[in-house]
Amino acid sequence: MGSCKHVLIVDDSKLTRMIISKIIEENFADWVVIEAVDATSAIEQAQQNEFDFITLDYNMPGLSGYDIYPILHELQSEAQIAVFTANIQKAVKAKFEALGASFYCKPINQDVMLDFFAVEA
Amino acid sequence: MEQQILPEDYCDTLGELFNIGMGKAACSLSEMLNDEIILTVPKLDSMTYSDAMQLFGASKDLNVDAVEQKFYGDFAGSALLFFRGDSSKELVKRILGVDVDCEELTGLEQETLVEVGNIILNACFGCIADVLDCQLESEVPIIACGNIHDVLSIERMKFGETPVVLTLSMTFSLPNKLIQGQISLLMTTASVNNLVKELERYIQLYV
Repeated sequence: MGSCKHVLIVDDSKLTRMIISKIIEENFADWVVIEAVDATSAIEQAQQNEFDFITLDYNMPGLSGYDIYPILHELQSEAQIAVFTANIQKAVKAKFEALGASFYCKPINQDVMLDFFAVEA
Repeated sequence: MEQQILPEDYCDTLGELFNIGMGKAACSLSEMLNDEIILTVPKLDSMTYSDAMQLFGASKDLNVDAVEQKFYGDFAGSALLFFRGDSSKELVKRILGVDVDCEELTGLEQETLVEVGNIILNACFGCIADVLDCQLESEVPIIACGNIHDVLSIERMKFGETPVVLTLSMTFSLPNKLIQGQISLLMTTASVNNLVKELERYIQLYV
């Protein structure tokens, strides 16, 4: 996995964005990371850039991760998109799995992120 | 507008830890109720006790049903999960499958609410302790019902000094039923300083 990848982190929590960015920085120093603090800026980024990976929060102010998953999937059909959420109810997981999304539980740690990034390895 | 006691980054971090805890609690409640719990985006604010009382409407004749659980360890305080309006009765009604028509909760209904509080508050304590890698124990939760001024009374909670209040506002609802819950942590200034040290240590891992 030496080639440079582009990652979009979509999460309203600064902490979560910092954790994911740090894990990427430590493991894939040449990767490019862009952060979006809400659904609207995530869509804007997806319209303007090409991403290999997108990490998507579920509960966000305004539109949720569930609302924008189909939009991101359409705009970034080549990207691996996974939902990272604290809302780990079976019903929520089932909703995302029905859309074809990967589903990961918070709290986020290195093992979880490397598992996601290994999807394409 | 209340003045924030904790800097924004600390509120964001602690709010996210509560978010994870509430997610786990919602998972447990969802299995109890066999229904999805809709969670809103939580927001954590820190404020003085007097600002908190004003925010919670202590000046009004407002009655609440609350579950209180004291916690101690690397930092200590009292956590209160309180429900506004008929939220507690709606929740108990759904769990027990019976109507709750009385003004006041009966013994069984109070026990049910305490158990809900136990699930929610311990999920939050557990998440905060695990992620921050700190020691946090909790006492047996108790119910506190009545006027919000009495429920949040410093004397009732046996605080030796005026506490700082960290409050997490979030709404969780069942299909067609809005249940408004609020978690507040009341802590001494010294304890808040200990919490800040733990948060600072954790944040520095990712800077």
